[in-house]
Formats: sequence, C-alpha cells, structure tokens
Amino acid sequence: MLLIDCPWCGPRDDAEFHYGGEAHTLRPADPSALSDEEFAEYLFLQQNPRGLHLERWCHSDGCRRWFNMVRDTATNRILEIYPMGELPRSRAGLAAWRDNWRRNSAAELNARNRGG
Amino acid sequence: MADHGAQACVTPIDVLATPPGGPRDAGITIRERRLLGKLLLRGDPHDTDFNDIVQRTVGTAPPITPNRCVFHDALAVIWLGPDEWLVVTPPGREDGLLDALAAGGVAVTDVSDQSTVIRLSGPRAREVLAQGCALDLHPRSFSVGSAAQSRIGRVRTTLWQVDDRPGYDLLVSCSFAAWLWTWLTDAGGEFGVRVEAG
Amino acid sequence: MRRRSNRLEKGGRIDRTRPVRFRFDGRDFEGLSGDTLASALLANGVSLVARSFKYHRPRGIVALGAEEPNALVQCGIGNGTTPNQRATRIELTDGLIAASQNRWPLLRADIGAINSLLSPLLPAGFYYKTFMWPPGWWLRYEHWIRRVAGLGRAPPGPDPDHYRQVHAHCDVLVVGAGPAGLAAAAAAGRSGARVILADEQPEPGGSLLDEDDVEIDGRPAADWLPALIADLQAMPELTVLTRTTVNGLHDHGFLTMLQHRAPHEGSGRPRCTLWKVRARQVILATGAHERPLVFSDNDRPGIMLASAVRGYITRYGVTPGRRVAVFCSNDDAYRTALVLVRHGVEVPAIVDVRANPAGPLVDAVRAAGLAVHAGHAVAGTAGWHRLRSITIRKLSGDGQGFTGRRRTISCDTLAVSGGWTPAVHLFSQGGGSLAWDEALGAFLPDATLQQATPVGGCAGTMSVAGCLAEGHAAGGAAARTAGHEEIEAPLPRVLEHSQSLPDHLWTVPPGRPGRPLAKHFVDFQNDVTAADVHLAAREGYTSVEHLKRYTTTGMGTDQGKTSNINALAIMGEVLGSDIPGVGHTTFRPPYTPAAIGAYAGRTIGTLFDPVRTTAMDPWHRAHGATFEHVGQWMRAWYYPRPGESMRQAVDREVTAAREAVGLLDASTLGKIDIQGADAAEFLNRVYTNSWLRLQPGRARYGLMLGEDGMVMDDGVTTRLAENRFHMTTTTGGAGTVLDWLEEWLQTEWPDLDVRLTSVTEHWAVAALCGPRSRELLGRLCTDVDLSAEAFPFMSMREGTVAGIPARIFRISFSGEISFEINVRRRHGLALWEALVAAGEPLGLCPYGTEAMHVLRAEKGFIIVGQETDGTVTPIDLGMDWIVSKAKTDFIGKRGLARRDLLAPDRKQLVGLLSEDPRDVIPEGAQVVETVRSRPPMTMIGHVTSSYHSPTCGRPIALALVKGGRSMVGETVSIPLADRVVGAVVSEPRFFDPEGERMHG
Repeated sequence: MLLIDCPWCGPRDDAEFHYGGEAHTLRPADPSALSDEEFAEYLFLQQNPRGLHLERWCHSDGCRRWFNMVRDTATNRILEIYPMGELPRSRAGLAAWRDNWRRNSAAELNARNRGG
Repeated sequence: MADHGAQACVTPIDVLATPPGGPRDAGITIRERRLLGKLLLRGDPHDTDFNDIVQRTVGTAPPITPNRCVFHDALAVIWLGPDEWLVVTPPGREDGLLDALAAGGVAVTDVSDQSTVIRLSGPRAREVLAQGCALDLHPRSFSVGSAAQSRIGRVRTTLWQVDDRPGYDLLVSCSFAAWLWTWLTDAGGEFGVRVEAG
Repeated sequence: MRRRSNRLEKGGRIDRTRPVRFRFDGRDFEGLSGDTLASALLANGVSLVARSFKYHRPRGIVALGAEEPNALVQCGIGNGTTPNQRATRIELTDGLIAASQNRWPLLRADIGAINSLLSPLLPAGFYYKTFMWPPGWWLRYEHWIRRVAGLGRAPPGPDPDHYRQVHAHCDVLVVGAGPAGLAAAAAAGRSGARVILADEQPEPGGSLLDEDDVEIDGRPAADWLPALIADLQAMPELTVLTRTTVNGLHDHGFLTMLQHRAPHEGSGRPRCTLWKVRARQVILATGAHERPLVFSDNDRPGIMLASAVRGYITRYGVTPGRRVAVFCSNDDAYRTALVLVRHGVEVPAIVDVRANPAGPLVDAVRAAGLAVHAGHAVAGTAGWHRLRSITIRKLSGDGQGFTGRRRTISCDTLAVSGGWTPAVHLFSQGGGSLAWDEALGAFLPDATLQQATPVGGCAGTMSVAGCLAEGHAAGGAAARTAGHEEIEAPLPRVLEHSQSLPDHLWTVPPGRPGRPLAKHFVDFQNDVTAADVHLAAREGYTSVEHLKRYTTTGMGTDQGKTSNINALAIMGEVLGSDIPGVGHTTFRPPYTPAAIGAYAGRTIGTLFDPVRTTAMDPWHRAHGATFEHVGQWMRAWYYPRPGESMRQAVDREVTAAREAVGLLDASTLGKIDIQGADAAEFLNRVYTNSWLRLQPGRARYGLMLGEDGMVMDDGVTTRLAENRFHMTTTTGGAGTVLDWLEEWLQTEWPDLDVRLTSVTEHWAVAALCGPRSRELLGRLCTDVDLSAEAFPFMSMREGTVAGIPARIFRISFSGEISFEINVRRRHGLALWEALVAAGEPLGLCPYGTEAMHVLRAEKGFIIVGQETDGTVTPIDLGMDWIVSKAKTDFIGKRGLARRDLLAPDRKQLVGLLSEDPRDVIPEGAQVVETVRSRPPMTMIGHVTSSYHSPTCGRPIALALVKGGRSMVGETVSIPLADRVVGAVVSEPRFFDPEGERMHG
C-alpha cells in the first residue's frame, strides 16, 4: 500500500486517495475544432510507461484537493508531488515531462490558442 | 419563530435506542453530541476581509495549519482544506451565526443535519480507533487540537482530539452514524463500553 | 503397551511440574507445559506423523519451526478446526485434539501408499499429462484427486472464533527477536524511538533459546536473555509482540503481521489479530533455515535437520532418538553431535562430505571419541515407519560417485545439515534483489526499494557475536534515520565455537551408479525428487518459474523454505549452469499460512457494509415496508397490506398517486449546494442545456455527460439566489457527481469562483404527488401561496410545513402535480408523520421505490443506470431537446459529435408492448429480429425497464433497440428460457404524453 504525502494533510494511506490518471492532459479550449482523431488522442490515449509516470491524485477521503505526482511505475517510488497546473520540479520528473508529456500538452496549448 | 421546536428531533443514534449505562471502569465511553450546529465555510484565508468577518462572528480566525482545529467559546473550528472549514456550534447557535456570516459575504452552508458527532473517550480510545483508522494517533503525532479527515472502518470520518483522557469527537454522515456506533461498541467490547445519554 | 519416553532427565524450557494431556490421531498422550505438539510427540516416541502428499510415504518431523514441511496436522474439531497447522508451531494445551492429514484410513496403514510402489508412473507433471483426456473429464478427475491428495479439511460451518485488525505506526519495526533482532531493538529503543519487535515464537530469544554452547557476558545465552528482555519491556515506546509473524513486506514501509492468541488467553480474545503496520524503518532479523541434504531415501521418519535435533534437546528436553547419526557438509552439525553426547545420547557416526574437515568443532568432536567419516556420504537408508539404519560410502574425488565398500550403521535418527539458507522472504517481497553467495551457498539480500536493513542470519551472518554487532549497528542507524539520537551502549562479549567453511554437495550420488534419483527427495511437502527436476529439465521446463509450477517444488504451505536452494542447485547441475544463472522464484506473502478470518477481521455480519437509512426509516419499518438496497441505502420498496402480493401493493400505490395523493421518501437523492459568482457559468459547462438565464426561485432539469458524450447523471437544479444553486443528483451518483464536479473545478477551471458542498443528508425529502397533493399541502402550509399561478411547475418556495421550516420544490418524477418538501433531517420523521395524518382523509398512500419506477416509466422518464449504462447518449434516449445547439461547448459536446455516435443504427430508447397483455417481460431480456430454435440469434437490443402498469391496465417496457425509433409499430421477439414473447415497438411514453397533469 502506497504512502502518499498529501500536500495539505501529510502522509496518508493510498486507500484515502482517488487515482485520476495521467496528468497534464489539458482540455482543449475549443474541442469542436479538433478532428475525431485529435479528440481521441486527448480523450482516450495515455502514455502508460514503465518508469516515471506523471499522474493526478485526489485526497478524496481527506481535504478533497487534487495534486500531481511523479511515480515510478516499476518500483512505486514517489519522486515528487507538485501542484495542479505546474510542472515537475525534480530533474527526473521534468525530463519525463519533456520526453513524454510535452508533445501532448503543446498540442493542447495550440488547440487552446486556436480556440482563443 | 415557528413552533418547529415542538416537533420531535430525531438523530441517527436516537434511532438505535441504545440504553445508557455500562461499567464505571469501561475502557471507552461513547455519547452522541446531539443536534450540534455545523456550518461549512469557504473562503481565502489570506483575504483579510474574510478573516475579519470570521474573527468577528465566530470569535476566532480559521486555522490555516492543516489538520488543526481551534476551540473558542464552545465552538470548534476545524480545518478541512486550504479554503474550507467546519464550525461546530452548540445546539441552536448555528442559525444566528449563519446569518451573520452570510451577511458578511462569506460562502457558508448549513450542514448541521448532514452529520452527527460521536464523542469517544477513555483510556482505551486510541486502541479502539486503531482497529479501523490508519491515522497515527500516538501523542507524538496527534494531540489536543489535532484534526484529520480519514476513514474509520468503512466510513469516512472527521475526527479531532478534544482532551487528554484522551477524548475524540468523530464527525460522521448521519446515514453512516449507526454503523459507526455499532462498530465502536464492537471494537471496544474487549475493553468495556460505557454509553452516555446524548 | 507402555510407550518409551524420549524425555531427558534435565534441560529444556518446559515446566516439568505441569503435565498437559492431548490427543493425536485418536490416541491420548501426555506432554508438558511449554511443549509444542511436535516436541510432545517426539517425547512420546511418535515418529510417524504424516503421509507424504503424492506417494503417501511415511513421514516424520523434520524441523523445529516454521520451515517444517511434513508435520501438517488438522487441529481442533467441529467448526473451530483448522487444517495445515505445523505441529512444530502448535503450543501444547490441555485437551488439544490434532489429527494427521493426507492419510486414509489410518496413518500406519494408508491405502494411498500404493502410490509409492507406482512412483515410477507418477512423475512430475503426471496429473497434467494424464487427466487431460478425454476433454471435459477434468472435473470428474478433480473430485477424486482432491479427496486423495487433500491437505486437510475446511471447517463445516461458520468460524466460532473472532478476528481483529489493528493499525500501528512505528519508527522502527524489528522482525525477529533472535540475537540480531534483540540487539537492534535495544539500540533503537534506547534512543527513544517508537519500536515494535515482533517474533513468531511464544517468547523472544530466537536461536539463543536453543544454544547451550554459547556464553554472553560470561553467562549461558539463555541466562543472559532475561535481563535484556526486561530492559526492552521497560522502554515505554517499545512493544514486544510474541506469537506474531510478520508475513508481508509491501511498498513504503507497509507490513502485515499476524498475532496469534496465546493458549492461556480465553476465547474472549481474538484468535488472530492482523496488524497493519506503517514503519519508517524495517530491520529484518528473520534468521536462516537449515536445509537438508539430497540423498537416497532421505525422507524416512527419524531423518531430521541437525539444528532441530539440537533444539528439541535444549529447548524441550526431548531427544528425537536414542542412537543419532549425523550427516553434514559443515561444522554446525558438529555442535549437534556435542550436545547429543552431553545429554548421554549415543552418536554412532558423523558422516561429513568434506574430505578434510578441520577446526575447533571437529577437534572437539574427535576429542569426545566420536567417529568422523570424512569424505563420506549416506548412500541409502532403511526402515519404513522409522529409520533403522544408514549405509555410508566414501565419495569419489569429484563427488559424482562412490568408491570403496559400503558400511551399514544402525541408528534410529539421522541429523542432517546441508547448510543454511537465509530467510530472505520479506526482503524479497518488498522488491529487494538477491545476490548469490558462493561460500555460504545461498542467496543474500542485495539492493532494496524499502527502508529495510537485513541483519544477522538473514544477511548471511551466522555467528552470535556477528548477529549482535550487526543488529546493534542497524538498530542505532534506523533510529537515527527516523530522527532519534543514538545512545551509546557496549556490545556484549560472546564466547562461541568458531566455524570453518561449509562445502556444498547438492546431490549425493545414488547408491548404485546410474540409478534414477527417484527417492532423492528435494521438496518433502510436495514429494518432488531430484529425478523430477531432471525430468523437468529434459522436457524443457528450465525457467525457474516453469520448474516450480511443473514440479510443484516450493509450492504449498511451506513455500519451499527447506527445498528451494537444493532445487535450484540441482537444476543448475543438470543445465551445466551456476545457480545465479538459474535464478530464483518470486517470494510472495504470506510468509506462513494465514487464516482468512484474519483478513476479514470484523468486516462480517452487520459490520460487513454500512446500511444507510433515512430519517423516515423508523416509520417505514413500523408500517411493514419491504426494502430494497440502492447502493448502500435501504429504501422502502413497497408497503404491502396483509394478504397483498407485491403486484397488488404496487398497483394500489400507483393508483393512489394518479387518482388521489401519494407520498414518497425521496431523501436519498444527492444534493449539492453550489455557491459563487461563476456558479451559473459552471452549470452551463457541466450540463447539456443552458443555465445562464434561469431566474432565482426557478428550477430546471439537467443532463450531465461524460467527456465521451455518454449520459452520466441527471437531476433538477434550482437557482436559490443569483450566485447560489441547489443541485440534485441520482441516489447512486451523489458521491461520484460531487467528485467529478470538484475535479473539473480544481484541475481545469481553477479560475472559476464556485464552491461545492454536499448537503445530501442535511435535507430529508418527502415528495407528495397526485391530483390532491396541493389540497393536502394547503392544510399544513399556510405561508406559501400554492396556486398554480403563484407557484408554477419547476419552481421553489420557502415556508413552513406542519410548523417546520421547509423548502418546497414543484418538480415531478411521476407526471402528476408534485411537491418535494425538504426539511432538516432531524424533522424528517415528524414531517412525514404530519403528512400521513393530514393526508388520510384525502386518500393519501405512501409509496415505495417500485411504484416510483412504475409512475416514471409510464411517463417514459429515464433512470440513469437503468436506461443508461455508460454507452448511451442523450440522442439515443430521444432527448435531443435537452442538448443545446447554441452553446459553443459543454462537457461531452465534442464527444457527442463523434462519427460513430451519429450512426442511425445505434440502440435507441423505445417502448415495448407485449402482445399478450398479461406478459411482463423480464428486465434485461434480449430483443431479436428473428427467433431461431437455439442461439446464436442476432440481438438487436435489450429491455431496460419493465412493469405492469395499473394506469394503462397492461404491461409496459422500455428498451434500447438498434434503430428502434424507425421501428415504431413493428413487432420484435424476446426469446426467454420457457417462451418467446412478441412485442410491438412504441413511443417510450405510455401516459399523458403532453405532460398536462404535472403542470396543473
């Protein structure tokens, strides 16, 4: 059982948390401007790496706040917990974001810009 | 004022009709704190207006340290989140406080009947809670004024420590209160359970 | 016949003044307080305690502790019986009843032993190979195989005992209270750290309890112990738990421990307590297990591990035999020889595979006048129910064969040692990697993902001095890491035998060259022989995981504690590989078998799952309601009068609601208080329709979609004030919808000023519906103008009802004029009773959820989760009217526009009218176009709701049917198990399609 350090409540058993899937999947500002394929990319496709994974959690039985986490899916080691809307601060976490998540986010940022 | 005070007030633990009693040297004592007022406040703790209104009406500023509660004039203000607090009042004081806070522009919701409070105290209270609660309640990490939202058994519970007997207030949704009450009597059975009237 | 006693004159930690009576296999015996079942059986000269799993060979006790592979017994009788208990771990109590397993009809005359003669026909994989034919017959075989091969019986009824679970937290958890663990706990405890020291035995001490040849600080180890343990017990933050097995090490310092009730504790105490521990630091002082040597007929009763022979003498004052030979590859077994001699037991020979054993222990044994046969091995053994003799021969130089003549030595016991295997189970479970140590001949802990430090035997350190030093250092370091200042203390001085290096002979050659190794047992519990390992290799099962599953070695209740290394080594020999090349299997929790009851804990009976009830529940109960579970809620289903069937009760309730007035407890609906300047904008984004211009005091129905366009929840939301709304959700969706909305606010739209608060339970809700509901409400509520003009459909007013402050909503889920009265929960019952009393003269009838379903189905109102299943869009439901075309975006808008969701042949909501007006189609039934005599048939849809409608005087059903809207008027078929129902497709509304009644 993971011990997750809620940024507000401190370390708690993972049973108190709700897993929210991959982080940094910004919702496009104007979804209607996307093709079915682009929309599917946003809605259904995830990275699912063996290794560092950027993911969202909610302390649902506690303060109900959402936050981001960098977790190694092979070892369950938690490298870092960081606020929603921000990027990882650790070197490894930031590298993972650059390698696997930035493309995703950039596409969405473009979409957001297109939507004005 | 309407005559609703004359209407029967029924709490979820009234329904169980547990007779008061039990051994004097019981390991734990449980009691429903009936019909307490409960108000949920939302606001930015760094906003001076918000803080001032809360200070003026409640008598104390909301705690900004997570997992803490403050006691003032029979009220308890419990930290629930970075912009969320629960004010627990003696029965009947919630209406006036609600009006005062709302008049000050605070986002406040009356949740008095959303949940009830069970007071658990006694020398074995910690051991009883440990049977269903994953929090570390050792005095080094949880003491008077500590508060936490967690689970007890299968039920979401907010608890805060009120004294060193030790005593805890357990806030639980009304529809889960009977289950928690039963759970406490079961978990405490080995140590002796005393039930006090609410 | 008087049984010969093997109890020694003196020694042991047993209480000779307190005899204990017990029964084994129907015979009465006497042991002593402090005995285990195993030591008491040995004291009584009982050497045959089990039959082996596959060949039903006679087996005896092999080990002293948890690693025992043979002596599995069924303990207790009736519902309290427990199978697969290791006799070595059962504390003897007065009246204990135990029975051997895996034998029929009797242990001494077991019919299954015929398998032993057939053993050439029962190789590894025999069951897999044989019982595959003919196809489908496995179930018949299985019944027979399980009966013959079963490991004990499950109790016939509910467990009379109870079990508890406890959460615990500590700075340092020390696993094992042997020398290393004790030293670690002492060092950590002195610093003031919160320490738990857990050990599976009844008293702390571990191997120090067994060794009478070790002195610490000038005293025998066992005499030195009590002062240390008293010190530990005096530390306020240190907890010593005995009879407690740490059986799992998981991520992030989470461990599970199983604590067993002591025999002297009554049945008021839990039989087992499952501890769930979160430890900042873990010290693994789990020790090591001795392993046997693999030689011909090495499984006869009387052949035991050398350390176990020693332990039975020193701890229990029992000698397992009167003439004990020793067979070993290391010095440690020489200690056993010396202990035997000290206690006056005859030691006819020490057979050592090493060509030139040397060192102080060897010298001491020779000085005692014992015969050491260096470079020899046991080539065979004799005796059926008990060892009678061994045959030894000189090993050839390469250890692959024998030279010289064979010599037979008579003995009743053989103490065997093939070396020591560190108990790395927990370390490995926690994701730790292992490294092979050639000198020790074992895998040792290497890297770990956890804050876990292996010490002592677990880390390959076998001397007492080394264990104490390592434990001491690790305990101090762990406390320091957990934030406590270490307090210096001197290390005790230890006097013990020094040992020279062991040798490793993984397979003793067969007595006659070229013979298969069919009686060279590797895994006693699973009857796996060296020949089986060879066979697995020949058949290609060379991966270590395949080897395990094909031969079953390392499986079962002992998980290969004594057999794993030998099996891997033999596989290595066959493959010409080294042992690290073979690798090892994964260690999994639990370390020793655990009662399932401990994992259930108190989550049984009434505590199994919370049952949620409303404020009006006492009334429902008092008035004979039947209930249905809706999630965790218990809702009144219908209120049968004496003699009424369900159908009659529901018909009566529906008719009353349509013709007079009905009353429903609607308290369970989810309710969310929404406040903030952006509340309307927020609703506009999460609902499919438009919310910006809703006036305060007015309400609107809303549908929520997932981002994929599928219907997720629905409900009526009311604007209480400019910046405040009261949202309702489905009963089942209350929690998920709140979480979902909060997620959008926090993760996508943190800029919106919106606050959400659940008020589901703050409000008790009584819903009046029917043509006389206004009249009834008027009798109890005088401060609200209830006229249709002043209080129109889809609006809300505040007032008092029966003197209780209330919010009254004019919304309808029945199609009738309806008022949903919300009061604080504390007044819910009083409100209900007042409504019932006032309504009686008007023909009021309380109705339950079944009538509610009928009423709404007659109107074609959907229920999310019944008409929808996560694959249904509003368009499929014919609810296009609620999907805004004008809004540029809302959650699900883009998803709804996906190509596939626009296809005309999607399943669409329609009505179904069965051709036979008495036939209520079962919900969930499949709709087909063409009926065939047997499946498969092309299914075009399914029935989502189906009831008898008293209003229509016939059955009605709702269904999702492919392209259903274009099929109105056509006939479809619904094949059932016993008949085929024909039904006409209709519009999904059966009553008052224009909705005139509810607006009135």
